[in-house]
Amino acid sequence: MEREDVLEYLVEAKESLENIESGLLNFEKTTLDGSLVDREILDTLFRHFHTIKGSSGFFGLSGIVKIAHAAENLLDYLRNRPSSQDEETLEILLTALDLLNELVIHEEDTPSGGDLYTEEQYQFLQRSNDKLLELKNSGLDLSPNFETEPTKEEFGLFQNDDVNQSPKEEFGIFTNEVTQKLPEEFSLFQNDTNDSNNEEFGLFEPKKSESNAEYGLFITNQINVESQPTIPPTNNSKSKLEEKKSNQKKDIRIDTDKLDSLLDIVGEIVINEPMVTEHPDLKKLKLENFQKSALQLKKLIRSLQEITLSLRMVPISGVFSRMERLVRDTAKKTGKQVELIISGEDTEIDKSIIEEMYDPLVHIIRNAIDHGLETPEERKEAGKQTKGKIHLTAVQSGKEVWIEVKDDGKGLQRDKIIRKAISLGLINHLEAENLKDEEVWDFLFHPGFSTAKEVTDLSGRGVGLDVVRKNVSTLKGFVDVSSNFGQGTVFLIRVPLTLAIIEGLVVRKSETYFILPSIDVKETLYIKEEPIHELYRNNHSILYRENQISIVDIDLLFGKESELNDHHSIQEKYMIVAESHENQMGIVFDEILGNQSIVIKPISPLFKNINGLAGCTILGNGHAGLILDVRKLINQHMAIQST
Amino acid sequence: MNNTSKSWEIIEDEDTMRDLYLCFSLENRFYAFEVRYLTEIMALPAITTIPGTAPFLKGVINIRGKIIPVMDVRLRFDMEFQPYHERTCVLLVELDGHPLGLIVDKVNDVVKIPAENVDLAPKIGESKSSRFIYGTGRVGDTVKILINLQRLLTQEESYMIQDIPGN
Repeated sequence: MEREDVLEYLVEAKESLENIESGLLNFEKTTLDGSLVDREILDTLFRHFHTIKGSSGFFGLSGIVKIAHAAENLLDYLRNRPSSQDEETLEILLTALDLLNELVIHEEDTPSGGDLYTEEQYQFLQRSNDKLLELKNSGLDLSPNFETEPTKEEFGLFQNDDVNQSPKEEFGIFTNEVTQKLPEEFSLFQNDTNDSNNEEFGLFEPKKSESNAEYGLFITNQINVESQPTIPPTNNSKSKLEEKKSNQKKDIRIDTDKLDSLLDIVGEIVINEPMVTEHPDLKKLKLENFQKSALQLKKLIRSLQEITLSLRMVPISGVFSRMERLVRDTAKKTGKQVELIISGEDTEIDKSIIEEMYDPLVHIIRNAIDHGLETPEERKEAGKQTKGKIHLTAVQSGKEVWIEVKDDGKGLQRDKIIRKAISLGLINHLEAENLKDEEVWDFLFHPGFSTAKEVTDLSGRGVGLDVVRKNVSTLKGFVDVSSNFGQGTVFLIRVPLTLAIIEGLVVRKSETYFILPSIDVKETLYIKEEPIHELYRNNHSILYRENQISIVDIDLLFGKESELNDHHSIQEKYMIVAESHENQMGIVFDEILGNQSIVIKPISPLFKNINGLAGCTILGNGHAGLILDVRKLINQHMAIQST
Repeated sequence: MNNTSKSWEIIEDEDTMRDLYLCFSLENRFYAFEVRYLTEIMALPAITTIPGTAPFLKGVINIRGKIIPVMDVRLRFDMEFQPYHERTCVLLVELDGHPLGLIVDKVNDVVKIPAENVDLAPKIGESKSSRFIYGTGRVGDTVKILINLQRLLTQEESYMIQDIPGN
């Protein structure tokens, strides 16, 4: 078996495991309600475990097969005897999920044939076997009508077990695809028939119903529901089923390299378009028809750009749903009661950003449960519901996505934070009096700042909010916190929708073109003759509005002397006022060429210690332009000044 | 006639690039490296200088939408800098799948140097540039200095090139 095939499969397996996780968490909710688990959830879970078992068997990953098989057996028993469901079964299933995750990751890192390798894993098999036996024994005196219940299909699965995972097992993979793709294909025809002559397309209609019937065999959901007259599907679950189906995306897996090169080319086209349509040679000519066509082309290119960018966009729901498990486990460990309320999970965001959001969110949510929420007793005393609530929300706001984590816990304690800040020497007593709340909360992001009394298992292990802020800043985003004492704390993460293309201001300094990200630019000024003050060599300031701000010459980056040393005024130059964290700095350039969409490309790592550059891009004139990392420049400059 | 039969031979040869070397010259010396590394020879486009980097890394160039670092081979060999002119060439090479542009004075030709004509470089002295050279190749009456492209980037640098995310 090719290693690459295995790796590809493991990615698929992970997706199935995610589905299992959300299924199990639903399972848990119903278990805790005391109601019986939905047959539908059981079926879905069973199917996912089964798919994993089958495909893993195909790839010879026997460990995964064993664990999945154990889980499958339990689930199958539950399907026949829903009444025997209890928390222990749920725990076992969750453990199975964890072990499967472990095995998948282990196999990814070190190809080992995928057999079990820890004592824990073997013990799990024993434990789940025992549980199954126990269930079976205790279930003997219950109505023994399950003989008739299993559908034919299910039998087929069990006969195979893990002895040989061949054709039939593979169907597990295909079932999903077939059910997903069919509606799409046929909807195409339906549209056609609606739009035009019914008669002509009549041919396709009988075919459609035929093939639906044919494939109906494989649609496990339907069969299971139909063949289960004992638990008639309620209206509720039916609508859920439909909802799920409409939510099912028709996906295609694409190599990210290919996607990136597509994005690059589209970026080139976007940049090249004005070069052609606004070519200087055309300026003097009257070309009405050409202008019309050019306009059309512009529109097309714009939508091409939008669609290409959206290719990288995925809903944030993947990360959000992983938080459910985190909340569950953290709540259990801390003995707190927590309800996680998720909204806006359909909000789409660049895939590379989503991956980077996981760690910050984990940290903030753990923090909210561990430090923010009170224990049930404390909450009762404070007149709140014993169950704490955490709202996890995503909304799109312009070119940013805002992700909010809001808890209804005890809120931040101003005094405590100030005391800590003073003890760390960040401020003195006098200053503390006049601080605004926001300034106080901001101390939380200071490295080594923790108000926790003790380092618990969950938090305080070196990763603080400073790391969260750092992670988010590298994505060109912000984290802010606000809090009302006694009412809760809100963490707000703002990140850009996408990193691949940014809006930038193109400027020129002698022979080199630079791009400043538009978000960082506060104002551009044309300066005819303005006195500048030399504080010391290579360090100048200028009057901007009412303040003196530093101005720098980008030549300094290249190890050259600043031009500003020679002239004590700027003549016929442009100054761009850049801003980061309310620090302002003026940067001097020769010419401003205008705003442009910029495709960011990495600078070859051959160039070591590049400070102040965020990347490269190709400009309309064919030159490579350097993208300035304005925040870094300002921070560096401020650091030099303060030393 | 002789030529055509020769090209047939080459096509029949499984590894058509074998023993073929690209020759270029710096000052009065002739250098050569294996042709299989070469992707393209072109006139030097505008270079965008990258601040704060080694002098022999002149910056980056745009080749059809790709940003490629360029190295001045003279500077790498500790020779004196010569201003570029319209005949200055860039040799685009690919090292471990990563493109790099080499700026050289003059490109000469492609020659066949069979293995028996290659002598390993005498290890005399530890000149800084000797580590880029692995041998000499006899072509008729002349001798080409064979360079090891991999070593043009120091060990450390070539590791870094592999670590680049998304490259």
